Amino acid sequence: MKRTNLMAVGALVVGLSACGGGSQADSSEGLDCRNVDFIVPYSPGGGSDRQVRRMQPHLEKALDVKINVTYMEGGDGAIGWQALTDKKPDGCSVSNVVAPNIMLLSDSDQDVGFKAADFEYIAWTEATANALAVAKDSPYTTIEEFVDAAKQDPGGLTVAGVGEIGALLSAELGTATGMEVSYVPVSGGVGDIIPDLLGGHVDAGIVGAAHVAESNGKIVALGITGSEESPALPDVPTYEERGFEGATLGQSWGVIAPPGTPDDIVTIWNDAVQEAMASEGTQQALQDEGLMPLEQSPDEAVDYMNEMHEALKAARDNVK
Amino acid sequence: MLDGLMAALTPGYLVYMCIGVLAGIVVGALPGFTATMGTALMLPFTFALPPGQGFAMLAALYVAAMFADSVPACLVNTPGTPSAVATALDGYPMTKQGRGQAALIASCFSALVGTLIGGLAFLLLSQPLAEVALTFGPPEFFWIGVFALTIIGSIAGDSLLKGIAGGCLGMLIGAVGISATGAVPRYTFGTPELLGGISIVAALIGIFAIPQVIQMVRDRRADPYVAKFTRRPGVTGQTIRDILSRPVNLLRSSLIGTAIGILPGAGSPVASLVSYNEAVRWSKDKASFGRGNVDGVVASESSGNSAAGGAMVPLVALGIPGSAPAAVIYGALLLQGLRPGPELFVSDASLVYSFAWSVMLAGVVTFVVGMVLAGGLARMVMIPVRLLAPVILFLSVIGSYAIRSSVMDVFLMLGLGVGIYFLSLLGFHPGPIGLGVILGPIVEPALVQSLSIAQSSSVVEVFFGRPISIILIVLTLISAGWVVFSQVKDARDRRGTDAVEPAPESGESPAVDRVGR
Repeated sequence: MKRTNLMAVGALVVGLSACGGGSQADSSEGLDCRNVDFIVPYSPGGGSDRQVRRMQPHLEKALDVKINVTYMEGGDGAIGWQALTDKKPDGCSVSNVVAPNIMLLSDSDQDVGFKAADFEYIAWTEATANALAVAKDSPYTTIEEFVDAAKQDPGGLTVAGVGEIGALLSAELGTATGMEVSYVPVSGGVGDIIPDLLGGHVDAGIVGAAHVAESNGKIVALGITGSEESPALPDVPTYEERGFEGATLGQSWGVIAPPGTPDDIVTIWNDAVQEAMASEGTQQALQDEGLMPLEQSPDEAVDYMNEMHEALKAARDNVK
Repeated sequence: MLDGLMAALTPGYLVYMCIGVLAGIVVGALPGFTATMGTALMLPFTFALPPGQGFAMLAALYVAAMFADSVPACLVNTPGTPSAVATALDGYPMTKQGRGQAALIASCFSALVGTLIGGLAFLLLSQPLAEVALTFGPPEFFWIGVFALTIIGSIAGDSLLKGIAGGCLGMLIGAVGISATGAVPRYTFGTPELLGGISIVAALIGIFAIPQVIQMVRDRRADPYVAKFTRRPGVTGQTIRDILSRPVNLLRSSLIGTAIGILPGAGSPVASLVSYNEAVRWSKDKASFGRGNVDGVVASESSGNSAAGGAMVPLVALGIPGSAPAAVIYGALLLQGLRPGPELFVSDASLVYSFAWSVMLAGVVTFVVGMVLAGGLARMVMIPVRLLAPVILFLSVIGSYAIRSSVMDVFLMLGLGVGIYFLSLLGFHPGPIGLGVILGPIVEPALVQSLSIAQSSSVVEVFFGRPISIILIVLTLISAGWVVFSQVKDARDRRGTDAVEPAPESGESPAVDRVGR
């Protein structure tokens, strides 16, 4: 009886540890990894998850590795990115990155364990403008109507947004339009804003243009940030067009590697990412989701990161 | 609709659904592994499959996990996922009394009924239910959270005060890390690693599993086994007949579960706790809850499973996932190029219907598998504690790590567990603490958002001026009032008979405390 028990426990231990093994993929593409650990610093099902999942099959083929997606949510990305700083810079661990989220953390007063500039930027893959969205049946059909109503009743209209970034975006829009609204922070992500809008609990929400496109008409954008109209939202003007200057912050997703990852490994990853982005299904999927695809070399990725960082700083100075 | 059923019954669908069920049973039964994790892990495999079959597999995993989490909950007082916290309250005492197999059968059968009711709601009433779900805004969620907190009255054990303190402690534990609504760090002591707080699942493992392990080890000479397993021929039929003799509990719990499931963000954990509370409230034998009353298991399991079906309603009807696993399925839908929403019922009606039927079929398959395994699983209590305790500890460590690949979660889990163990010696029941951990992240953001909305009108209008909120407030007052009333009655009874209540002995396992009336 005792021996059987011991054997049973032994088998259990061996079995469980074998689960961690994974396949032995011998890479001939220069990446010397059995498996690749792809960190997503957010919960499954969100925009970052979809970015990674979209690329995953193509990356696996291009790099000849197996990719394990690891969700490390918490601290609005802080946990995942901080974990990346501890990984070996051998190309076997990478992470998704979101702007301006990582810059916001980087600039914050508390120590998050990293700075945005520490990481090696492989490439940014997609971007979206931010939009002021209302429910389909909202009384406001243009941005001017909304702004006027807000001006007549300062603080009387409620605008929902995601956490601290949302507060910044709302303030940025307020400065650009001269209106004053009551900001309502949601906790889980943009997904929490949509029921609030549809149920009439808030008057408007700040979401990515992509989310408006995804919603299939349930929510409507009154205006978007930036200087270019979004192909997924053909009838929506930019704030700039309507005379509201200064609302520029959008959202971008990319891929980063641990600090100190050598250039040749970054290049290998960049090539794989570009291959994934260029594959047929991907371009169409991005368009459908309202995202703008980006094509960058690693150097361009660093420039982009700095641009986004400057834009964030400018926005914060602007609203002070 | 019938096309959907036909599709769901084709071999392709059935095979993947069964795979999902098996995966779900494993994932649900291992503490620390959640349905969310399971669906996320399975997601890449669905890319290679035609959409309907992929979703059937994911839905099956979710459904099966919602049953399987009751296995460790009943057998070793360790909820397999947060949804099984309420199941453990009576399931474990049943096991200690040698009725473990009955507990598992009750759980299995209730899960089946729950899944069928939730699935039917999804199949037939998605649109109207989704409209109802939308009327719940931040103030309503706040009041639901407050209402759920009154459940503490049912699970606090001897001291309501300690129960309330435990609930508050649970909420504080959940508050560690960056605030969800405003990037303000709390209780992080400047450490970057604590910015993410402790994950709910790791916290629950710490609160339930670790004190259990410590107590097992401490009492290993007196109690070398968790419980006795006695073969009772006919226990299956007996248990099911017993449950069916009180159909109101089963039905009410399933309906509560569906109702809560359709509210985005609430999900199975809240559903099972609220149903448990209602079962206690409406029972003629309240004192027996927490000591092995099968109705507690029935209420919790049927509700948790119907909430899974309910969570699909907003997902498909509105494009808003009702729970975390549903969020993964939402991602899967988008990645397959499908847009959840009313249009999906038009453009891909057959897909939606086959999905709904798969949910229900998964419930049936889970039931069959569960019934077959119930006897064998219940025999696990025959494994001596000196082997069981290390295995549970081992799984707890792995499970806590697996959620976010975080060693910090493991340390926090262990520290929490040891701390809660000592608290349990002082008469603190882990149930309310777990409740606080689950409800804190729901109540606090709802409060913050409601207060923010109130900036544009007034606090009174936002919190007290909305019809659904008023209903919830009344329910809360009734629930809280009943708790106070029973405490006063208890005290009066005690004074009347001049008997003095013995303090909870430290020899008793934390979860088998007497439940307050």
